[in-house]
Amino acid sequence: MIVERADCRAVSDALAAAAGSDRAFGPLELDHLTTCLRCRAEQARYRRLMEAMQALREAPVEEDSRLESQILTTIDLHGRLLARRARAGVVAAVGGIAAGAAATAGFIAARHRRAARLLS
Amino acid sequence: MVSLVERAKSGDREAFDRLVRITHSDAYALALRLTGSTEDARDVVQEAYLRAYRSVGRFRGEALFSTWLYRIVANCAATHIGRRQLHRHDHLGAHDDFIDTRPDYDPTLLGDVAALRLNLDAAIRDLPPRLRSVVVLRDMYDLPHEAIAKELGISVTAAKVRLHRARRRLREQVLPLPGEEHDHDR
Repeated sequence: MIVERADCRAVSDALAAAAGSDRAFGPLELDHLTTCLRCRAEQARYRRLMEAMQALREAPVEEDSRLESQILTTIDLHGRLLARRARAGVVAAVGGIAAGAAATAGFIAARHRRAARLLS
Repeated sequence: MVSLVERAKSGDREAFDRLVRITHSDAYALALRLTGSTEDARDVVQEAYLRAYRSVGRFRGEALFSTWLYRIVANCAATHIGRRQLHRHDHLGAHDDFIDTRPDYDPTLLGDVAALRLNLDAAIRDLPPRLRSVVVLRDMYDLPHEAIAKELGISVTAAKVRLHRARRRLREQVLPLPGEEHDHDR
């Protein structure tokens, strides 16, 4: 009878995946882990690595004292830019309406003049 | 925090400023871990908050505000790193050999928790950006694979492959098994 066994290489790949609970071990891998000291040592190292990763997240990072004001300034500048664009849009719209009104008035005046000429 | 987010969503600038004050240190820490540079981290965080400010109205509250912000930081960092690599022409591929240049690297110190953290921090910074991003976002900030894949513009499978490769590198680097130490002396 041939007994199928996982080898260290296959288990090593599984250990990296299982370290963050992304994947569970299969029966062959579990069987291997009960007997292979090297793979168990590797598994223990992954566990320590994960703990250290979480601890590192909590470790303080040297703060940049100017960062907060820089963020707020960036948002302010963006707001001002938007406001300026909006104002420019209003000015363009008002200018367009004025130009349209002037053109209409000119057209009406021309028609009146032509009508007056025809009548006289 | 929830009420501040609600106020910020309705356009209250003061509420958004307070959210910046509460969250910017954490966002900066993530950006620093993703980019490995204080200058880049500062740029990334500013860009991320600007994007957050513009889109906070669309924040649906399905995740925590901090998680939503981390995703924006991750996306900005990925864009920033991509742009930087394009300019510098010094792409670091996932298969590049790692050379440990730290003079104070000493495996005998690994029993010490502080030394482990120090070495781990350095090892994370030395990872290629494509591996560093996934391992930081997943194993330090607990973002789901799907979110990581989306923000980095890769498939979920690719994100998992990179994650496992990154974990293996870090493990070999900071907690080597007997016989693995010499691999890093090359």
